[in-house]
Amino acid sequence: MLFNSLDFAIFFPIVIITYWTLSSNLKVRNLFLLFSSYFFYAWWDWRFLGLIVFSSLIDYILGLAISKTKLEKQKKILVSTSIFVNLGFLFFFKYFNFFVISFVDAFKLFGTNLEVSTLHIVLPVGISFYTFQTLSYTIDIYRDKIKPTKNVINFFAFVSFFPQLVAGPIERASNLLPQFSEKHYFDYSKFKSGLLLICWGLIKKMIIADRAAIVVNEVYNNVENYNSLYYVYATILFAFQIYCDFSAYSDIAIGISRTMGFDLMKNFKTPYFSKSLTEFWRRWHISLSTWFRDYVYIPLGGSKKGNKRMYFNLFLVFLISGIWHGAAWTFVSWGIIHGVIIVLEKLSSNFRKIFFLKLGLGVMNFANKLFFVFVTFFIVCVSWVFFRANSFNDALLIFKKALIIKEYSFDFKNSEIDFFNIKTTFICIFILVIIEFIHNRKNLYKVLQKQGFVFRWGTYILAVLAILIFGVYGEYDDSQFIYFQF
Amino acid sequence: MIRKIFFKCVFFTIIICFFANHLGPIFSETRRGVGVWNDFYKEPKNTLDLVFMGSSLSYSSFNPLVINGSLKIKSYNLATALQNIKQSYYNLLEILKYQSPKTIVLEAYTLDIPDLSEENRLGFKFENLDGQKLSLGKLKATNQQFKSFKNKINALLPFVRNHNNWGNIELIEKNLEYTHIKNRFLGYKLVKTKVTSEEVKEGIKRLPLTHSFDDENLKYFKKFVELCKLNKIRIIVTRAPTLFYKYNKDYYLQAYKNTNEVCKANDLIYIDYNQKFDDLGLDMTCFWDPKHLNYKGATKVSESLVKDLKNKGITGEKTITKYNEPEDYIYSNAIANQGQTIFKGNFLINDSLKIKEVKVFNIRKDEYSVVVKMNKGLNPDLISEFGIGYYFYPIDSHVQFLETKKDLKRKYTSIGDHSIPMSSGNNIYIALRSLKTKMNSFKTIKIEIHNQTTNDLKYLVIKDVNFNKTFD
Repeated sequence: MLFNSLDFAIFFPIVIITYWTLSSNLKVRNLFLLFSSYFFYAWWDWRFLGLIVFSSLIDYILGLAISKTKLEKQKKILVSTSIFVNLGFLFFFKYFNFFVISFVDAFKLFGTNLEVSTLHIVLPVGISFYTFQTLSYTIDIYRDKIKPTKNVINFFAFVSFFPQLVAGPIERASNLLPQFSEKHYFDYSKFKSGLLLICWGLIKKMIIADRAAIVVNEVYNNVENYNSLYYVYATILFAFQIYCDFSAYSDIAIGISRTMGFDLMKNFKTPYFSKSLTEFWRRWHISLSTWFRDYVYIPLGGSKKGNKRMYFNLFLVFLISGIWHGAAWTFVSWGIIHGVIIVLEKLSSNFRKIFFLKLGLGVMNFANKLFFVFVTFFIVCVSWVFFRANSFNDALLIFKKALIIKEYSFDFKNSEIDFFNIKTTFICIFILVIIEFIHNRKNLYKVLQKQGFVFRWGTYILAVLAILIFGVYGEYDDSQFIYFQF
Repeated sequence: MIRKIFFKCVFFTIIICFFANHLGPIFSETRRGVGVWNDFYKEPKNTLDLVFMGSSLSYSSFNPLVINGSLKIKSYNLATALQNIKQSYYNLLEILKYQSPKTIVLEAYTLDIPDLSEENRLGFKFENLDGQKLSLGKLKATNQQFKSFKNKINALLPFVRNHNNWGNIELIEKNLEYTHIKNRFLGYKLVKTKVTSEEVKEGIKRLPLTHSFDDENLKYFKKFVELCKLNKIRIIVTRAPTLFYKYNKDYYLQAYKNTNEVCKANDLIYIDYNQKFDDLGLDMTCFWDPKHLNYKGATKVSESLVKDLKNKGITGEKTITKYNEPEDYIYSNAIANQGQTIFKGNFLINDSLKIKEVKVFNIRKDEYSVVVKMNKGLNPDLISEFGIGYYFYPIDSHVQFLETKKDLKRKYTSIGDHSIPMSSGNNIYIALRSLKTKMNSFKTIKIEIHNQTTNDLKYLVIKDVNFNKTFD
């Protein structure tokens, strides 16, 4: 079920009230969490419950086995089995058809028509996330970073923990698993901050992301019908749509966990304030980027095997990241763009320092920072075109048309798009940017808590009313979170 | 601590619900059905003798004011647009919480309207429920009418359904400025315009060929009948006339036959006004669209219903001591001598038309009605081409300056377009109304009679009227 759905609005209070009132016994609570999480997952499609249970069971057993084995070779076999099983599931459900189609297309280029049929495969929601989560568990055990848990309920609850099950953050066992062994006592301020974070997430999702989606979907799904300026608007809106959508999910996940006494990792740190693409990846989808750093980049050698190897490793990581995001060449292209630019940033690091110094951009004053923020945002937006476009050809068409400046027109009267919607969304984005800018410097939550009862409650009421009034729901259907498709 | 948090959450939820409840009407487009229910709830408890139920065919055809004045009863028209029998059943459950009518007049088109799907007629279903007070009955009605949780929420919370109107500034401004004035027609919808032949031609293209009743409708009709029996309510099933009767006789004969059979099986009275089409003198001038009667047609049908109800022994015992509407005066002999006669005589409009008497009476504070009584035995269609209005003047001398609009304080209103007449016995009456009029500042009243065919104007000027006197 979606966080911004009526179903969840009923599910969540029931779970939270039951969790805190059921029993103070840890086993009972974790069992309840486990069943709630399975119920949450099964609400989408109960048939794939078996898959997550099986995946959890395999890694639970393998984790214990790796820890018990003293032979390095056996440990390698066991961890490889875990990798093989988890990535095997991921490959089958997510990439099988993509590779079959790509294989057939490749042979077509040589004039050979292969008759290979694809399978009707339903992608289990969250598979990209929970497989990575369980993989990190077995790999960390192999590396002696953590000890395996014998508590099967705790482990299963860790894998299927509903707030972060379907779209992250991808938690490390070292962070989340021990929390299932700790007794959580009700902390009112933590509970309150969790609720406020959920509210903030819903504001970003329902007011900004879903409103931006109306314009983005119209333009990107009807690429031939629009002129250049629409693509610029739609791409900028998409940049904020995907940020608000994804960060909102993470905020809600963190908020829900906090209400139950759990702490999840932060997944976003105002990424659009980044001054370089390297910095962007330290702020965007942090749980994924750190996962790739720890389990792909570093094992490949990282930066310790010379510059050439480092560049190759970086490029490969982003290529895999692109593939992880989706089984389509547009995602691969997106990954490649990021990989290439990251490598170029590394290659040109010294040159850029000298160059910008000569241009007067060396000193990091406000104006210069703003310049680099805009440049980085521009680069990210260019890559988002591939990420969002329905096909590679559509992405190329958008670039081709966007460069025809003489076709730029501010006439929205004859389009399907409501200009009022565009205006409203940009105003909301502007407000979001201001709030995040201030929050970066001064924790707005703490500032709010210092205010009087009337001001605080007034803010809470206004926030909820803002969601109810300005949120996109009802007529437009419960809208999916973008990262669910991964 | 948990208890404190629980109460805080409940308190917060109540505040949000309070705001959502008050924001609902601000974001919602004004729907007629909501106002009808609001006015219904304002009627004193257990005072209604007769309730009209059904779809727009009911609220366009039956004017409770005509019924009330003639039969000395109190009736109300609680029909809503595209209401089918299932909705009528749940509406009746709600009505019975506040009123105990002795008679229900159910317009038969409610039986014709099927529920093709939950999404079918969605807006009309919401409209019917929006006006109703939140209660267990409303929750049950919502639960029975909608299967999807989303539609149930939309039905119960108009704010959620209409929240997207936040960008419609004009609508919000209009709703903020809106002050509900009780509809004086007690649920009847007054329409003054006439249908055009092009509209009729278009409508003919979409006529159905066969008539039958939906199983679910018959099931709810049975429940409706049983509920009335339990509460000792007499049901009169009517079928309002439509212009299509003339062009689709086979269909209407089937409809008559099917409805008659169902009514006979349940021992109910059935009156089909399509069968009286010619007797009532109905034609295109009596309709505002091919299916719905305008004020002229509704007055004719309502007056005919009065006769039918009288024949069935449905009359009231209310003593009307003070008129609440012109219809009370026109249809009730008991108060015919009340009001202030300001003219009595024979004012000739043309060879066959004359004004016999003019009376003024006070309806409500600063609201007056001028009733013009025409000659006895007059065919009401003869004066349908005349518009009748009136003017008030502060001093007599201004009567001379008829063309100067600056001197005129024109208060031209008539009930029904172009002075649609009401009849009582052999007399024809035209009732005109003025709102927010400070009568004591005027001395002269001028009745203007405008012949729309020849464009001739004639004036009956009544001078030295002492408007300081209160007209009781």
